[in-house]
Amino acid sequence: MKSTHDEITDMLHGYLHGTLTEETAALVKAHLLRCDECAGELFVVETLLKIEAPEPGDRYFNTLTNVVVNAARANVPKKSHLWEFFFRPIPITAAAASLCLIVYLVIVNWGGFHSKQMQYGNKMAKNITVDVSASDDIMYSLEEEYSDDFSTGNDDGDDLAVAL
Amino acid sequence: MDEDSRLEDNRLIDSYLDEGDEVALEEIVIKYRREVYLIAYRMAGDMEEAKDITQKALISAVAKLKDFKKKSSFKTWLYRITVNAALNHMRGNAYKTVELCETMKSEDEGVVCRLIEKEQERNLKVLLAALPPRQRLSVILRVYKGLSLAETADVMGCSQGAVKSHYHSAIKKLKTTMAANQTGEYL
Repeated sequence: MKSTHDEITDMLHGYLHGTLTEETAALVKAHLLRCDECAGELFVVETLLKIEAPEPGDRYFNTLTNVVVNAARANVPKKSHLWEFFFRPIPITAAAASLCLIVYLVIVNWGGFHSKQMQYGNKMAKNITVDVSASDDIMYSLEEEYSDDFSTGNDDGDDLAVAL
Repeated sequence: MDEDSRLEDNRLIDSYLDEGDEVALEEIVIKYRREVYLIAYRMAGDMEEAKDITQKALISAVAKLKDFKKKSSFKTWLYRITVNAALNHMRGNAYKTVELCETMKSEDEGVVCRLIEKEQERNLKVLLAALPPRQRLSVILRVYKGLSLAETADVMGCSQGAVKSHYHSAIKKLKTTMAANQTGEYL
């Protein structure tokens, strides 16, 4: 529940701006005579209202209007139609690139599939042959090496025996 | 009057958004540019900064115009954008001092009275600038813009109770400091 004091406080602005009815204004005036708090608030508000802001001038305001309108003009989004999407440079480039990629993949994976497979098969067969021959060579060379060592050792022993 | 203004604003906004009518946009900017500047000035306390804030706020408001739902008035919505622009700007210049030279008005004819008044206003302006941002904002919107509690709460994005609390704390501080200054002067 509002007290009379609170009600009057809320009406002080209306009183200052002259928007109250004559009766209400008289009520506020009577309250102000006996309430120091409200009278003090009114004095502060009246003093605040006397402080004027410096005027920047018509030139500033006119330039400001132009600046704001120009900024708005620059920000207005252009109305777009669906058909425009397909004629934009980026989607065209992207579509062309995608098409090229698809064609390339088709050629590589489909057209060149058989020849690649044949080549791969031949290569595998060749590798196996090479491997077998290589292992034979290795085995041969190992046998030769060990036999040489063995014979050399024996030769040394013979030589030693001969020397003794 | 307010309702007429609101309908007119909505008509201009629709005209700009639907038909790209730049004249309608220009009309809105012309209608509110000074209001925006004054809020910015009261918040920043410096003319050059206020100019920057005004430009930023208006450009931002026009860019966001399509997001304006018309639930509140355009004026309240624009004030909210201005306040946010001012707070963001001030965060970047937290330690900047407040400009003191400004024009003052006085209806009093006496030279001494005018000087005292001028001094009071100057002091009050410094005190206002020293208030925490939300308290200052509540004073600016309530006193200078004459917004109701509900409108101020809408602009500040808080409850009416919070606005009341900020506003009364601010006024209390200003009143106390002004009284202390006056007592000090006359001692």
